[in-house]
Amino acid sequence: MDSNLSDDRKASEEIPPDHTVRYRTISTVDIDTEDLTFRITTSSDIEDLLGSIQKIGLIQPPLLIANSPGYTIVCGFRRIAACRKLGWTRITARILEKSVDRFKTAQLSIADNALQRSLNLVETSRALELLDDFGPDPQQRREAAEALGLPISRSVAPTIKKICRLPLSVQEGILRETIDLSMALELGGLNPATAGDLVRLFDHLKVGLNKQRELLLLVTEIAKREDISIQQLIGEQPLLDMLQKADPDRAIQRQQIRSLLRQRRYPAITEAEANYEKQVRQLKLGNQIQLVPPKDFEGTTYTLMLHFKNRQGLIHLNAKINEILENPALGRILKR
Amino acid sequence: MRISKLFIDRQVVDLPLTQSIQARLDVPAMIVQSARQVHEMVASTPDPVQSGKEILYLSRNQGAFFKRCPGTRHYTCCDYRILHIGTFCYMDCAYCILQTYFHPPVLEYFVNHEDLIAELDTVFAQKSIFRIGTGEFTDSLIWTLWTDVAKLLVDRFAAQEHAVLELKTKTTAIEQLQNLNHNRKTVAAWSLNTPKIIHSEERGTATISARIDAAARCEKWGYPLAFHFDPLIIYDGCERAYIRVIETLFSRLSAENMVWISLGTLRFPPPVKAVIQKRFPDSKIGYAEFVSGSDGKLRYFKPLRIHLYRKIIACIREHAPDVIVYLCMEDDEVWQKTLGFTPADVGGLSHMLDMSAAKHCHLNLDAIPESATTRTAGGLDFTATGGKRQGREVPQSLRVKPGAQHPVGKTQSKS
Repeated sequence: MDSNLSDDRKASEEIPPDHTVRYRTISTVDIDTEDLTFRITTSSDIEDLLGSIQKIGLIQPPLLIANSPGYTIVCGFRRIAACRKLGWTRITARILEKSVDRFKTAQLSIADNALQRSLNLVETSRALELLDDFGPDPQQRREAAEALGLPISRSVAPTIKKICRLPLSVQEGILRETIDLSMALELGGLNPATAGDLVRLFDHLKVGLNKQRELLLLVTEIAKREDISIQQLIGEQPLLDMLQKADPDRAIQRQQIRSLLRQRRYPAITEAEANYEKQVRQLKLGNQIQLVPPKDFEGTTYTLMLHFKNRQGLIHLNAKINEILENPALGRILKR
Repeated sequence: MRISKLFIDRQVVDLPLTQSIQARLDVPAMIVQSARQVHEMVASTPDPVQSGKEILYLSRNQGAFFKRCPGTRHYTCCDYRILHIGTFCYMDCAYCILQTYFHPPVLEYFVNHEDLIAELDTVFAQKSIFRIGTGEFTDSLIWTLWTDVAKLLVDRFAAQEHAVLELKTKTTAIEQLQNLNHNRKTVAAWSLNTPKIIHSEERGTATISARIDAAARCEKWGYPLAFHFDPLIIYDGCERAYIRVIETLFSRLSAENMVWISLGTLRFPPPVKAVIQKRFPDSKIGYAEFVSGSDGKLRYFKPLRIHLYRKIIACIREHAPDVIVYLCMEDDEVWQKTLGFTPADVGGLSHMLDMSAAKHCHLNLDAIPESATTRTAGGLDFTATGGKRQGREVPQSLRVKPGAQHPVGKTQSKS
């Protein structure tokens, strides 16, 4: 049996028995393609459909609802776009009467998507939001969500619902898996253009969540302290140059950008760290001795770590320690 | 200050102080079964910190009134004692740690004063030197709007000779201090900051000039004074601004009447940062160069603290070489690099402050062996011979030895 046909029947069965659906051939110009009320899918790609519709025809007619003077799309946004692109002026569609309850219409739209494939996070969010928009009460909305396989947990569902209200660039970031849900929600607190710039920055640098968080914190705090916008900061030299470098080594670029931002956010601390490293280099410790400063130079206790395998090795290090003690760089380190 | 509602714990409804406060406040009152009822109400509001400032909860202090100040072992603590008269404050400082210290914070006043007085009598009976303040969990003087607490405490302290009371405030609510026979056992103290910080980070507090005016009136009424530059906040131009405050301070007040000046840079537990960001979105104080201190609090990177302390100490020393300056919650390295000595050099910070209190407030030193009171450090003579022994006044010292140059002065002249 043709699987599409089977799904079509399944979807038709979801139509409540008290409302009839009629097959009609209608003009494509009567379809309001601007009304995205019931759109669930995040895909706008129609290339895959063009070939199949051209060869086989429209196997599963879209579902529309009468909405004088024309029709609103309930299911089949991509199919209708493909038909229009193919130059079809008339298509056969399933038409719901204008009087059909909008909550039930919303469920049909969700079912058409959710029963054929797994919804991504943005689609799940749109589906939950759709139920919220038309569901008469929380109990009915919850039951509908459960029946449609949508998340209903009180700890998860409210968070997911927020996604479809985030700037489009952030939603796209989620779909491309550049950012995860927690980062998306953090970016959602920023203005849409800034959020978009940051998603592009993360995408460009190919950084994971922890580094994203660090970069976000750095740029946010620098911007607030200096009374500039994050966009202005990202657009400044030399950061911009670094980002625009052709064929960059991502690892080096990530390191350079992190250092640059950290230096600007913590000028005194980074300077002290650099000075410390400079003095330690002058001690010529080698790879068997490590001198660890107090954390953030707050305490006063330094740690000297020795790596050796035998008595001879320790004797060698002992001599090395005596050299270190004579080195003026040690005095400069301890004097701070 | 906008107290919109009074909550009265059922245990204290009939206390005369409760009725007196209720009469003075004249706002709707509600009797509650327990603190939980008040806390739940406050916690359910969109901004519990703000809500906690707009109600007043009268209750019985179930614990001790007399407590040790909660210092940490990582930094030098002054061994201050707290007289716990109430909690929180109607003023609104961005950096206030009370915003996260209590869950939720609520303006609460303990009305079982008979217990407070009994505890104070026990403390006084020990005949040990104590420095006691009411301004740790609240502002000392905000309560004078509705109670006679300042008068009560000043009178009690005046009648003994071993302990001093420090009333620490950011207000000018000093009217109750006038015409009291304080016997110099109460120190009137102000937290000071620059006009810019007061304007942007200390909502509802008195201006710097008003605070200094109030201090001048207290000095005129014979009170010893103290000042706390805490928190010192780093921003562009802060050094010049703090120096201007110090210059104004010494142009209006007598250094000889200052029991101590404390310095402490901004520090707070990490959760306070989020509260500042939420409640003070325009504030920039959370975006400085902080590190996690040994006590877990965020504090400025040590060299930045040292730099600011040096500038301020040098300025204070220029105007008042003899005044006792101490650092609040800093380690020996910072003390050495800014003041030129460590607390241990002078017998400990607590001892140093006790001796200054003894000198300025004429405390009885009989309980302290004379051998423990002779110290010099960092070009300063800390020989603590002020105060009284066996009823006699003893010569006052605690001053810079003639010709001694303070190490901070040396540092300044080098740079």
